[in-house]
Amino acid sequence: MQEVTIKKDANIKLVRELYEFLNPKFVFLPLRKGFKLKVRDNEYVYKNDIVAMDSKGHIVHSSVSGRVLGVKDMPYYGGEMVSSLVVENDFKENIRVRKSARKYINNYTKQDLLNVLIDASITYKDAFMYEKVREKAEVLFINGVENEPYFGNKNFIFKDNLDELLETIDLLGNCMEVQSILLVVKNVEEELIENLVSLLGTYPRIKLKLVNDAYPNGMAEVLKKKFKVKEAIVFDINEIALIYEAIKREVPVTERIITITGNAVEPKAAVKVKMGALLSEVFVTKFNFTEEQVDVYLNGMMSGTLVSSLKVVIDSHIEGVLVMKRTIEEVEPCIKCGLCSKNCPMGLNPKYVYDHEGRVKKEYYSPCIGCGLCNYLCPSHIDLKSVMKGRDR
Amino acid sequence: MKRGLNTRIYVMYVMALLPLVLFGFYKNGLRLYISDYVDFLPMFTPLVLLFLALLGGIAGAVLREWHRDKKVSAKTLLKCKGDFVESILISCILPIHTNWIAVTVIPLLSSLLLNKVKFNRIALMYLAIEGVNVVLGTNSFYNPYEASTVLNYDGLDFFLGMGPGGIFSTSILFVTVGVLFLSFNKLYKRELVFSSLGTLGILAVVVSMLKGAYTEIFPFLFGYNILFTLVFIAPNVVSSCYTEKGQILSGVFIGILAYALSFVTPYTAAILAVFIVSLTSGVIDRIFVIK
Repeated sequence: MQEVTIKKDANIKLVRELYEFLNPKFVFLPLRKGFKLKVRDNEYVYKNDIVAMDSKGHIVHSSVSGRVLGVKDMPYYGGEMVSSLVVENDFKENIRVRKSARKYINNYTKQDLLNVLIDASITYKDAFMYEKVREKAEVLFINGVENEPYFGNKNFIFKDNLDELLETIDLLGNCMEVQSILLVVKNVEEELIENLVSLLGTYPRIKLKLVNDAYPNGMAEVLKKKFKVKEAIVFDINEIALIYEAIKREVPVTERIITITGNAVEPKAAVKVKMGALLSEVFVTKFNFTEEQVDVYLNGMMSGTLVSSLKVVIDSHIEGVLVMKRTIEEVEPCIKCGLCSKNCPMGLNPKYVYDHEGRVKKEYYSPCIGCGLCNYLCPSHIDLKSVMKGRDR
Repeated sequence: MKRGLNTRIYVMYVMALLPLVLFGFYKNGLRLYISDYVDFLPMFTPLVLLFLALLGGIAGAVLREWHRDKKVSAKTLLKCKGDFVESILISCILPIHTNWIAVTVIPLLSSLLLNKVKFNRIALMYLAIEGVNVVLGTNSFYNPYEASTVLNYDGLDFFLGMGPGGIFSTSILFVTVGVLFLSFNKLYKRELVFSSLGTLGILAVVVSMLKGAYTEIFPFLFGYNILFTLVFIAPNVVSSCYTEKGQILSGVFIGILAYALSFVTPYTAAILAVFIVSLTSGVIDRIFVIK
C-alpha cells in the first residue's frame, strides 16, 4: 500500500481560534427507523431531554431547549431524507436536572462505563459507543490523524483537552482489558507531539505512533493495515472526546467541531456547532464566499461529496465544508495508467469496476472505504469513487 | 488541490523523443548530405516522413472528432494528443525508404477507425506499413551510406546509434536518456519496460554464452529497433496492462517472444511481440484484478 502526498494550496490555513455557533434558530433531531417520539407538538423540551427512543433503548436527545414544532423530512449527509423532530430554540439552554461534573473518572468500572454510555446513548457515525466498548481485542487504536486535507477538527479537540483525553483513553484500555494502546498522530504535528510526550509518562500503556502527513493515513482501515494489526478496535479521537464528556458530566453530547475552509471562503476556521443545526445557517451567519463561482465539498474534496446546497442537518457524519474556486476538469477517456489500482489502500481495482460497471461481483467494490484516492489520482478525471460506490457514472 | 493530467505523459514522450529525432535527422539526412551520399532536398527525407505520419495521424483524429461532435475547435486538437505521439513513434521505427503514401494514409486510417481498439495500434500500423514496404521493395533499413559499404559495427556504434535501424530509433544513448526521463512520470509503465528488457537481456546473455557467441548479445539487445520498441511502444498507455503484476508478466512475455521471433524476422520481432501480447493484456490484467 502506498501513501500519497496531496499537493495542497499553501494559502489555505485555519485561523488559530475556535469559532462558535451555538444558537441556531431551529434544531432538527433525526427520527430514524424504529424510533418513537416521546414528546408532542408544542410541548416544551429542555436541553438534553429525551425526545425519541427505539426498542433497543437508543435515545435521541434535544440539543437545545425550546418548543417542539412537529416532524419534517430533512436532508442529511449523503442526500438521505430523514424524518426529523423540529425544535424551535428559545436560546435559554434550560436544563431539567443540572448534574455536577465528576472529579475523577479513573475509578469507573467497565459496567459503570457501559451504563453511562447506554444512558447517554452516545453515537458517532451510527456506531453506538457502548457496543464498541463491549468488543474484545488485543489492541486499542486511537486515531488522532486528521484524514481530510485542510481540515483541523482534531487539532482543536486535542488542543484544550489533551490530559483529559489521555485519561479517557487509559480508562478505556483498562475497562476493555486490551494489551496495548496505540495513539496515532501525524508526524508534522510538532506541538501536539511535544505535549503528548510530556504527558504520556503518566500513562505508560499508551504508545505514541507517528504517521506521515499523507493520504489516506487518517482512515481506520488504513491504520490497521499500516500497523499490521488485525484484532484491533479503532476509536476516533472524536469518539474519545464524546466518551469523556459523557463520563465526566454524565450528559449527552450536543455539540461538535467542524471545519469550514477553502480558497473561496472567509474566514477559514474550525467552528463549534450544535448537533441538529442546519449547516446553511452556520454558513450564512459566520462565513462568506469570496468568489462567485465555487465548488462546495461536504466533508472535503477527497472523501466527501460535491454538493449544490448546504441545507444539511449537522450530525456526527459532518466533518466540515471545503469551498474551492470552481475549476472545470473535462473527463477524458481512461488511458489505463493503473494509478487507481496501484494506490488503492484496500487493494481494489476501480478501473476494472469502471469497465464492468453493473457486471462485477460485490467483493470487487464493497470493501471500498470511499477515501477518494482513485478520483484524486485519475489523470483523466473519471469519477471512480462514484463508480465504486455503485452510483451512476 | 492539484490533480494530475494525462497530457503530461504525452508531453514527456515528445520531450524524450526529441533528441532521437534530431539524431535520426543527423544520421539519415545531414550526415549523408555532408558526405555527398544525397542531395540537398533528400537530406530532409527523415523529417518529411515524420511530418507525413503526423499529418495523417492528426487528420484522421480530427476527422474522427468532427464525426462525433460535428464541430472542430482548439479543444479538438487536445483530444488528438494520443494520435500525435503515436504518429511520431511510428515514424521513428520505419525504414528510411518507406513509401510516402503509406506513411500518411495508414496513420490516418488508424486514427480514424481504430480509436477504441484495445490492442497496440502503433504495432499494427507498423506491420501494415511494413507490408506495403515489402510489396514495393522499400523495406531496407540501410540508408544510402549503409547500403554502399560493408557494415562492421561494435558496441560503441550501437550505443551511439550509428547502426542500422528505424529512422529515429537507433541511438541507445538517447533511448536510455528517454527511459530515465520517462521513469519520473507515474503514468509511465516502467514495470513492463524493465521486465521486458530484463527478460530479453537474460535470454540474450545466457544463450550467447552457451553458444560462445558473445557478439550476438548486442544485436539482440540493441539492434533492429528492439530497445526503442520496448521502451517507447510496449508501454503504450491504452493497450498495455495496467495492473502492476500484469505489467511485469506481459513484459516477460514480450521479452521471450521478441527473442524467439528475432531468429525469424529480426526487424519486426519486437513490434510483433508487443502486438501479440497487447492482444492478451485484458486477460493478463484480469488475473490480477483482486490483489
